[in-house]
Amino acid sequence: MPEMREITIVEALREALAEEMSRDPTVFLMGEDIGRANGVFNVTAGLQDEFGKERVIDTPISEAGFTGMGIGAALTGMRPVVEILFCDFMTLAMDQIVNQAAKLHYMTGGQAKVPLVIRTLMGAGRGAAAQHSQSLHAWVAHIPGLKVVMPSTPYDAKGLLKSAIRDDNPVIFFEDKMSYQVKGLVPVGEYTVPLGVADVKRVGTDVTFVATSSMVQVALAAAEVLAQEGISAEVVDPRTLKPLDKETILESVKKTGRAVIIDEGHLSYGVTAEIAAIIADEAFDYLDAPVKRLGAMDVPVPMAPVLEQATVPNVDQLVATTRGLFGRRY
Amino acid sequence: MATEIYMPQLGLTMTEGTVTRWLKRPGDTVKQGEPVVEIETDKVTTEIEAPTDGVLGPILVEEGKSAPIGGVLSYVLAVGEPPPATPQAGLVAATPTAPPTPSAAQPSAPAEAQERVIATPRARRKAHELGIDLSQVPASGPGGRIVEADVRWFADQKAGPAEPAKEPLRISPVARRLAAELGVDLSTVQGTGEGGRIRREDVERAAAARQVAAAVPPIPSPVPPVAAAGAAEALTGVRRIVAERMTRNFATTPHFYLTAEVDASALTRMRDGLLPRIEAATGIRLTITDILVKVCAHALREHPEINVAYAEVSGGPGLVRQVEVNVGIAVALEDGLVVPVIRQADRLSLAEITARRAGLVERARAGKLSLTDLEGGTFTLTNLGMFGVDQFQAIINAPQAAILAVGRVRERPVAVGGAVVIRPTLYLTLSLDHRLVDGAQGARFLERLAQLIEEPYLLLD
Amino acid sequence: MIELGKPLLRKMYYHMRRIRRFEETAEELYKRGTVVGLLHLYIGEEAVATGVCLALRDDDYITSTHRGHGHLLAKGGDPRRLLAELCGRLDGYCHGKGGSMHAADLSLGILGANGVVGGGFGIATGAALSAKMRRSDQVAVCFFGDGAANQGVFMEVLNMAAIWKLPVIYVCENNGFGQYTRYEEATVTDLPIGARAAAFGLPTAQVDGNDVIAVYQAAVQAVERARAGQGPSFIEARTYRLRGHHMGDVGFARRYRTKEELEAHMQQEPVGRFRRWLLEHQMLSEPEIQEVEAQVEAELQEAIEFVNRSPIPDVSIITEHVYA
Repeated sequence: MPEMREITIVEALREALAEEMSRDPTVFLMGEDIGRANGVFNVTAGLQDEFGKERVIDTPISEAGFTGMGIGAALTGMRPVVEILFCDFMTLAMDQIVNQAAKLHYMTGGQAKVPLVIRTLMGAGRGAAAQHSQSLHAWVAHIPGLKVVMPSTPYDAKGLLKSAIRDDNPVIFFEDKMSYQVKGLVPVGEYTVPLGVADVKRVGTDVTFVATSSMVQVALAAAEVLAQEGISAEVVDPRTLKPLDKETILESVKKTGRAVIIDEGHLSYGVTAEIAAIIADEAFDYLDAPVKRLGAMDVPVPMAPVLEQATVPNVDQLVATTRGLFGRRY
Repeated sequence: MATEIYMPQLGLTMTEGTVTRWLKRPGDTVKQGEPVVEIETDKVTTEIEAPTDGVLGPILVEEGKSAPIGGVLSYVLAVGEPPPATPQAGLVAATPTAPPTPSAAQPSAPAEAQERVIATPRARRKAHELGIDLSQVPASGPGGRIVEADVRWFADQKAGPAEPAKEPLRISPVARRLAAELGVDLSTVQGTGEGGRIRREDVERAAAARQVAAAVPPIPSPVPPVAAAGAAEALTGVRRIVAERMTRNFATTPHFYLTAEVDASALTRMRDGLLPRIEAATGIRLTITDILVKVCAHALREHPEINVAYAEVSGGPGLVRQVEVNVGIAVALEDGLVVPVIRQADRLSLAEITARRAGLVERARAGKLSLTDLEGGTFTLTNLGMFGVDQFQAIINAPQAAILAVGRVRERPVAVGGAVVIRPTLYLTLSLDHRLVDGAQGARFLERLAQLIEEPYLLLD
Repeated sequence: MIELGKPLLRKMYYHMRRIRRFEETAEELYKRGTVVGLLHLYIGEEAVATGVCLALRDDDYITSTHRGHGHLLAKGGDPRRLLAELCGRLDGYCHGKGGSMHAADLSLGILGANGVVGGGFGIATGAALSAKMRRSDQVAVCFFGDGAANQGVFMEVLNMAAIWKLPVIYVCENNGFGQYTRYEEATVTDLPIGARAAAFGLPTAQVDGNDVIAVYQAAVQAVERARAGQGPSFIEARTYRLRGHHMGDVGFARRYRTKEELEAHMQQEPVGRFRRWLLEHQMLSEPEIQEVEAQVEAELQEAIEFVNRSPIPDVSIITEHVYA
C-alpha cells in the first residue's frame, strides 16, 4: 500500500510536470508567464529554476505562433507541453490545433507523430466574464486525431498529465480554474492514470451521474443530498473525453436505468448531447426514464457573480432534475 | 363549465379506489359539499362530495368498478350543459350552442381508449420478461409513464408463481410457434443465435432431448396435487388486500417469537378496581386490552429500540426511529382485519385510552375509519383471548418491528414456592423482526411487559 | 563567391528539369483524371526550390506550401511515391490519405506540404527550436508565398525566431500572385516583404527567384549563419507563376493577367534560362544536358509505371493513423 498524502490539484500538476521533465529530457514547457512569473495560477512555480530557461520557455503573446512551434518541435523529436492559459484563447491557435496537430499523423499516412500536450483552463466562477470563462472542450473533442482529458481530482490530474505527456498524440488537457485548490490523496512515488478509462467516483444503484471536471464535485454533493431521500446515485467520471470510455458509462446506466449528464460546456451541441445520445442508443432497453442533461446556459458568461453562478449547473439543479426522474414507486 | 368528480388520492399507498355506491343519479341537482358517491380503498370507505352546485352528469364508473387516482367518475354540469366529449381536465365542449339534454340517456362520455401505453423501455423489457400485459399496469412514473417498479409491483400484486427470468427471452417467431406446438418449455432451451437468441434448431434439439429424457421417470413433485373440491374464487376487496399484504409481510420479514406466561392476578384486580370509575367518567367499560395498551406504550417508551420501523436506505436495510408511541389494536371485522391506532398512547391516561379504543372499534365495525385512525402505528397489540385462544403467534404489521399477541386470562396451575397453585395467567407472545431487533433486546422488552403486567404499580414511576 | 563546380551545376539542372517535367506530367495526368483532388503546379518557380534545397543537408528540415512538389523533389524526394500520392494510391507517400497538399517525407526532413496558407510558419520555427534544444546543427527552412506573408502568424514567428535566435530561414517565394489576386493589389509594396523581417532584426536578402545560382548563394549564406548559431534569416525570391493557382483555374486566369504578360514571362522561364546559361558558359555540354534530360524522362516513366502498379487503397485503412 503506497504512502498517500493530501495535495492540491496545482501541486499534483506541478509534480507531474517536474517528474516527466526529469525522466525525459525531450519534455519541455512553453507558455505565457510560466517561467519567471511562476505561472499565472502557480502550476509551473519553481520549474524554471529547476530546469532552466531553455526547458521552461516564457513566450510572447503569440498563441498561433508558439502552438505551431510546439507542433514543429513535436514533429522533430521533442515532447513539448504548451500552455494556452484560458481555453478561450485556443481560438487564436485553432488552425494549428485542428488543421495541423490533429491531422498530421493521418495526412502523412502515419509518418509524422505529434506528441504535443496543450494545457489549458476551463470553467466559470471567477467573474472573469465571457472571454475568459468558457469551456470549449467539446470543440476539440469533435476533431479526430486529438485526445481530450479532463481530470477532477489531484490523483487523476497528476496521473493523467503524466500519461498525456507520454502519449504520442496531441492531447488537449483541460484544467478547471476554480478547482486548483481541490485537495485529494495522491500516492508518493511513480504512478500514472491511463487515458481513455473512466472512473466510478461513487457507487450507487438508482441513477447514474456522468460528470466531467468540476461537475464531479457537484455530482458527489448532489448524491449526498439525494441519499437522504433514499435515492442512491452513482457518479461516473469519464476523465478522458476523447477517446471516451463508453463501456463504463453504459454498464452503469444499464444497472441504474437512469442517467443525468452534467458538464460545464454550453448545453447545446456539446458533451452532454454526445454522451446522452450514446446512452439512448446503446442502453435503450435499460432506460427507466429519459436521459437528462445539465450544462451551462446558452449565454455568454456574464461577469457579476450572482449572474455568473446562475449560468453554471449546481447541486440544487441536479437534485431537482434527479427527483423528477422518479415516480411514486421506485 | 363541467367540473370533474374524480377519484382522489387518499393515502400514500393508494393507487385506485372502488365505487361502492352512487348516492345521486345523473340529472339530480347537487349542492356543493353534498356527498354524491361512496368509494372504498384498501383501507378506508369514504364519500366524495360535489365540488360545485349543479347537475350530476353521466356515471362513468359503475358501482363495484374501480378507477385509478385521478380517474373521472362523473361531472357536475350546469343546467342544460352537455358532458364533455373526452374526460380531459377542465375541457368543455367548444360550442356554446349545444342542445340541452340533461336527462336524455347519454352515452357514457367515452374515455378515449388509450391505444398507446406509455412505458419506459426498461419497463417494457420487464413486462416482456414476466409476461405481463402493460395495459393492466398502473403508472407511477413522471409524465404518467409506467416504470419498471410499476411492473414489478404489479407482478407482486398478482402474487403469481412468476419467477422472473434472468434475461429477457430472445426468440424467433418461428421457434416460438414450434415450441408451442411441441410443448417445449422455453426456459429450458439454450439459444445459439446471436446474443443467445433461441432459434428453431434449438427448439428442435430440446424437443429431441426431451424425448430421451422422458424415458427417465420424473422426480415426484413435493407438493401433492389438491383434489379439486369446488370452483376456486378470487379474493376481493379488503380480504384480497389483506391476503396480499400478509404474504408479503411474512415473506420479507424474518420473524422470531418470544413467549412468556405472566401472572394476571394484579392485572385482573386492577381492571376490576378501575372499571367502575372509568365507566362513570367515559361511559365505557375498561377492558384488559386497554390496560395492555398502556403497558405496551409505557414499555415502548422505555425501550425505543423496539419502537422502530424497517426502511430501505440507499438500497439496503435501514430503520426509522419513531418519535411517537402509537399503539395499534387489531380489530376483527366480518370480512377482515383492521388495525386502528391509538396515537401517543404513552401520554394518555387509562380513561383516555379506553375512550379512544371504544371509538375506534365502533368506527371500525361501521366501516367508518378515517385515514388518521389507521396510519402512524409503531407497534401492534392483538388479543384473541375473547375467542378462547390461549396463545398464538401473530404476523408483524410491517414495517413495524414487533407485535404482541395476547391470549385469554385463565386459571392455570403454576408452581410457586415449590407447590402447585392456581393462578390466573396470561400468555404473551412477542413477534419481532430479526433485522431490527435481536433476541436479547426482545427478551428484555418482553420481560418489562411481564413485569408491568404482574406489578402494575410500576406504571406509576 | 561560392564555388560552383560542375557536379553541383549538373545537380541543379537535374532538379529543375525534374521538377518541371514532373509538374507537366502531373498536369497531363490530371486532365486524364488519373491525378485526383486539388493540384497546384510549381511550373515557373523551379529555381527557388532547387537553389534553396541544394544548400541543405538531408537532415535539415523544410516546410512547404500547397504548391509543394518542387520543394519535396528538390529536397531529394521520390517522384514515384509523390506521383502515386497525387493519384491517391496506396503506395503514395501518405497511402493516399494526404494528397498533393499534404505530401511529406519525414525521413528527408520534409515536414509536409500544407493546405493552410501560412501553415508552415509555426512548424518550421518549432523544428528550428527543437534542433537548437537538442544541440544539433540542423536548420529549418520555411517556404511560403507572398500571400502567406500577410498572415499574422508570420509576424509571431519572426519575433520568436529573433528573440530566441533560432536556426530558421524564411524563404518567401513571391510569384506575383496570392491565389487569384496580384501581389501588388494585396500587399503594401512601398517596402519589400523583407522589410517585415528586417523589422525584427533578421538579415534579409532579395534575389531573382528565377536565377538558381543567385538563390543558391543567398541560401548558403543564410544556412551558414543559422548553423553557426547566429539565428534566423529572410530571403525573398521573386519569381513568376506560369500556371494558374490550381488546375481548374482556367476561367480565372484571364481575369488577373493578360495573355501577353504570360507569354512574356514564358520567355524568361527559369529552366530554359538555366539551360541556355549552362551552354553559353560551357558549364555543361549539350550531350551532357541531354543525358540529364533523358535520366529525368526515365525517372518519370518509372513513376508512371509505379502508379499503374499501385493499388487504390481499400476503405479498411480509413480508421488507421487517426491516433499514433
